[in-house]
Amino acid sequence: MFEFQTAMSELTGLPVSNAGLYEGPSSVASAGYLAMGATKRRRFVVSRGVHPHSRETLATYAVGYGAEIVEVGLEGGLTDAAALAAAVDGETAAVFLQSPNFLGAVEDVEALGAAAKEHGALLVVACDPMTLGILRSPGECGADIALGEGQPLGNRLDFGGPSFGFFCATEAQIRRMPGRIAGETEDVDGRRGFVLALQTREQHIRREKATNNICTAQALNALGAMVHLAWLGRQGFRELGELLVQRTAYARERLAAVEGVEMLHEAPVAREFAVRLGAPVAKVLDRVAERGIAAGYPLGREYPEFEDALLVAITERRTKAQIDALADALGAAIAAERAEVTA
Amino acid sequence: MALTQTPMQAETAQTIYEKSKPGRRAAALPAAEVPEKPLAELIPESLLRSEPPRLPEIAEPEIVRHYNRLSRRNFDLDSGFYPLGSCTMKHNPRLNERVAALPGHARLHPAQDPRRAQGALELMWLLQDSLGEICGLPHVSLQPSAGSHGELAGLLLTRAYHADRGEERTKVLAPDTSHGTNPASVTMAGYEVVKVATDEVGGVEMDDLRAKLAENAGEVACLMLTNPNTLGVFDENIAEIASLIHEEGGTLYYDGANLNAVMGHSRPGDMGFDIVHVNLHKSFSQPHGGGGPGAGPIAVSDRIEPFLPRPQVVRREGANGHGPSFDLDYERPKSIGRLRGFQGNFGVFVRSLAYVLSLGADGLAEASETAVLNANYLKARLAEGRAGERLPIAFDRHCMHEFVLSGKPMKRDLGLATLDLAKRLLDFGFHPPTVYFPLLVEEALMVEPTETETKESLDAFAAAIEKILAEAETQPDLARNAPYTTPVRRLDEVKATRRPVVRQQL
Repeated sequence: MFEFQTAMSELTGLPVSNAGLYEGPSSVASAGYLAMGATKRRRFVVSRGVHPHSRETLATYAVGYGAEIVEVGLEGGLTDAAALAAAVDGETAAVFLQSPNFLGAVEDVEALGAAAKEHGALLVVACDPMTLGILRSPGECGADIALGEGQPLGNRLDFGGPSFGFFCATEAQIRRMPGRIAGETEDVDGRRGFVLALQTREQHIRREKATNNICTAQALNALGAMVHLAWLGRQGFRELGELLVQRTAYARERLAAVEGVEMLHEAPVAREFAVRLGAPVAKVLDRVAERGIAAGYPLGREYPEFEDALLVAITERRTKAQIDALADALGAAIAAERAEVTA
Repeated sequence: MALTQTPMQAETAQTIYEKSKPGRRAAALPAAEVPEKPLAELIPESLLRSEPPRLPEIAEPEIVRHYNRLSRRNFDLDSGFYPLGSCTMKHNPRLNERVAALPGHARLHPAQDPRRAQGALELMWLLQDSLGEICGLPHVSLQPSAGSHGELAGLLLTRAYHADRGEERTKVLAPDTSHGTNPASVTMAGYEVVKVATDEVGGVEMDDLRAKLAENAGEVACLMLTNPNTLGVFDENIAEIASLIHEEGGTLYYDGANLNAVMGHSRPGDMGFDIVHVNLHKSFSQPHGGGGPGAGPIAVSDRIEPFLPRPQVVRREGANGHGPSFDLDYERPKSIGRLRGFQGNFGVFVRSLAYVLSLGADGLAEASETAVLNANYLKARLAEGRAGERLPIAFDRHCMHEFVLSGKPMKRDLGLATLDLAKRLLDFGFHPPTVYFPLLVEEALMVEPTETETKESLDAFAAAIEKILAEAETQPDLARNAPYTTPVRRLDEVKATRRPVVRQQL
């Protein structure tokens, strides 16, 4: 766990990591609880670029601990900077961003975070760990808390769980952190050893005054992530990030060249991007599925304004041949749908 | 005690970073295959990192050896008896691991279209149905990720239920013996805790309950209880407790951490509980993994059902000769919303359903019977000899799956704290029981043997306690300085909290 905490601190650029929480979205909700305690304020400003599951989970928790949520929209795939700056004030406990955001776009976290700094709100950044080999770390961009979903780090898909959430923060928040934290110490003979540190934050000691109610989390999954990160290693982790960016750029270009497909936004991306389809998304997906391809995630349910859009993810498992096959299948499906409508 | 070091103690503990050498690696990544562009053309330089994160540089065989070595330095259930009270450290059948690892389970994408995830959804529905039957409450959400997450869900459900009736209530009652997660969840859900006292036989003090209800008339949202409670005692007044809370308009919440005592014998729903969480990692075959993963599904009564988290797994009857189908239902207007990403800890659900199906109704009931029998046997063994004198039972009556001893006489007569006894047990190859909980028992020692231990294990544990107490009569320092044989001895926890070192300096 001590090794895991060290690795997550390196990835996020923040000095304090816990030993993991349940998964990504509930970690966002826990950050909200921390921010309320730290600032004694009760309002969150949340970008619509934050994962819809995270925003919904934050809203569920906020009803309990009594916080209000203000959402800020997107412009050209990125958080609307002017709207964000206008929404943040002296009552704001935290500003929530995600980079890359749910549409795949890499946000300028530092620039957006300035509004939070100015008003003394905490800056909470959700991030995709697989992009942290190449993207500037949230800590370097001024984040007070960096967190996210840990599944891509060597965890199985398992239809959504168990995986884990990572949660890192500045030194100033160390005594407000949720979850277990391993610490280095010595035994009576001076031998190096490790214990659970700062337990005085936790429910089994502090009860109703605890910083969070979490007890059983996802330690085994976090351990899996550490083994995976060691296996990738310093160079491998960076190369993997580059590989994802290159294949994603190729896929984006390849798909955008297909008749009936256009880019939803032109902002820079790392390993996901969104496209608009010239035929109903659900029908196109069904046609593509017949070729054994799950083409992407339809954005319509969570973003009614993007009813015609599809989010495409490229992992290291997707080869050039598969990307080409996806482009061909999408093109054929859109053409077939259009032909049916015309007929 | 001057003892020679064990081989593990003599090893210098090195982290993986300390074994790292520049240029070494394990992973060989494939070529991009696609036409490449300079990174800065794709993502503005200002958003890029100048140096990769300092991860270890180490080859695969050394990674394997490193983590294998670390695993051998842990005490786990596969190493020996682990009677950690309230945690139900029982054996998890290996078959269930194999089932969970099947590629159709392990590699299923969480955002897969429900029409192409019918097997997974049916499995979840079957588990919901089984847990509903075991709890005696018809509606189940599998979403909560652990017991404490289930508690938070239950309190948010209570809030939504009252809000729907136009009521705003601010207090939640919990006994002074409750798990620490209970009051922590209460605060997170925006309520205030009111403590209820424990009576002389270990149950809820009824006069105190009535008094607290009267003092807070119209304000009480919920009573959180576990039955059997953390003293291992089944509260016989439960029917009366339920009617008192219901008359006040509150909900009754069941912390299912102790469900392993009553499966197939009594059902929280029949006792009058409205909301129950089930720790799948305790009663239903999920290895604890040193602190997770687990899952804390909730079962609720009809009046709470409309508020369950979204999405909910539902079964739809087929038409025109088609079989039933399964879906994720998002159209739940009164729902409290999501508690987490996706549908829950599915991998845990697979193990738990495999466990329920392989034991069957009779097997689950027998498992609980054996858990209770083992606890009562061990309690009886520890009532003999020195243990009976120095470590008396805190509440002397038949226990359920666990029991609590008090080390008060041991401390007074031998100068041995419960912590000393716990540490000395490690030298005898046993993981200590839970110590200093519940809080109302002085020098508490909470023992939960579970159904998967043999009589020989229980006898050996009782014999070890007897031996430790005997040696303490002449050599009390032996236990006070224990353990001697573990990879590290007593650790300085105060230092770890006062001046926390939570990451490696690279």
